[in-house]
Amino acid sequence: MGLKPDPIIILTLIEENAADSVPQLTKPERETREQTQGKKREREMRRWGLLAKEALTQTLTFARFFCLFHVTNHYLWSPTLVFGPSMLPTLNLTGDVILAEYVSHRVGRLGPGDIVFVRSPVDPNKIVTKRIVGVEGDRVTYFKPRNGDSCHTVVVPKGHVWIQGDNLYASRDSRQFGPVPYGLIEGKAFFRFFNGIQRRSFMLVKEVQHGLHDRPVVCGHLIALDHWDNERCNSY
Amino acid sequence: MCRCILGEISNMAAHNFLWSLTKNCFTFGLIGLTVSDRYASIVPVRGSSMSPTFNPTTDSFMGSLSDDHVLMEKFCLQKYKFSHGDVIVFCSPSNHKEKHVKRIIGLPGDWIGTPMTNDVVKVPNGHCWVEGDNPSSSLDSRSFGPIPLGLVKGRVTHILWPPQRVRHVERKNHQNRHSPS
Repeated sequence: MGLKPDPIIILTLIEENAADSVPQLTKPERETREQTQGKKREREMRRWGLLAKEALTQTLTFARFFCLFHVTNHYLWSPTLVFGPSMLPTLNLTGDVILAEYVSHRVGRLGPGDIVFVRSPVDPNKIVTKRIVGVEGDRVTYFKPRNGDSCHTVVVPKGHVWIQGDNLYASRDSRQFGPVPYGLIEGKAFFRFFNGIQRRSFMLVKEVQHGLHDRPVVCGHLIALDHWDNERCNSY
Repeated sequence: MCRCILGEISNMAAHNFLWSLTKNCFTFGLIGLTVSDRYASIVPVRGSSMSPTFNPTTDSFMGSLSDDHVLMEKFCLQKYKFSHGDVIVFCSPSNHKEKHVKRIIGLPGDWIGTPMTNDVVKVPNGHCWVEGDNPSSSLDSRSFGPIPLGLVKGRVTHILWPPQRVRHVERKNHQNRHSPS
């Protein structure tokens, strides 16, 4: 009659032993496992953080570029393509690339003789290129070549300018739609990009720009028209 | 010598800090200018020509602090497409430095009846007829005629200040004033 060990006690003893031995075996292992997991999480977070920072920096750089581009194109200068028959012979029919500057009209240094870009009063989506002939207070004499021989005189009201194309026969300007408010002026043309073939006309643009501040016109056919105009109007 | 080096380092740090501050200010200034030019900006409304929509009370005690500040959006300038009753901000035709806030009553092609002179005016192409909501104290198209749409600088959508008047600005249609062509 031997003592049979209680199976429950045996099981408990085995479990205790097992419990005792497991932490002893894997405590350093468990620590390292936890540490590596933590480090992995940290690395992942850091990677996401770096990615987010990188994205933010790129966005900021892009925004800076875009804003610089916008400010230059609206407040400083920008190249513009102009075409059409209304400013012949100064500007080409088929197209010229002109540097437009946006400083003069903001400080109010625009006067007769300047070639300006104006938002058309007839269609606000179009910008037209014309020359300022009179500013507020000026008395402007003009005639419409296709409307008979009468010439008209008008006084430009306050806050408006009178614009005309150099080619009076093919230009819709203030003779049709009246003086335009100064607020419609978008910019002034001050330089034409040098084109080897049109060297002569390039010189003409510069001459006209300078000459126009003291005398009305330089172009040959316009001088003739001007004299004719004055003669006719003086005879009335 | 240690103090010298420390002084130099702190100088450089201050210099760097100033430089980065300047760069940040410049960047945010540019971004602010671009956003206010292309998308939307906040404008104060002076005067009572648009009462009761804006500035319903003439409070001369507080001055410009009690003025309504409104949100003006610039998306309408892509195609210059407006509707009757829109409140717009435009450059004055007699002085390009002043901006006015009025409501569009007539679009191109509309016939506008002016009760004062018993005249009927057709709004030409590319122009619009604007009037203030307070006809007794408003300098608008009844004095200077229709204005070119190119003068419009933006459309008012919301009132943002004072806080008790924050609301959306409604389009008010004046059907009795205009008749389409």
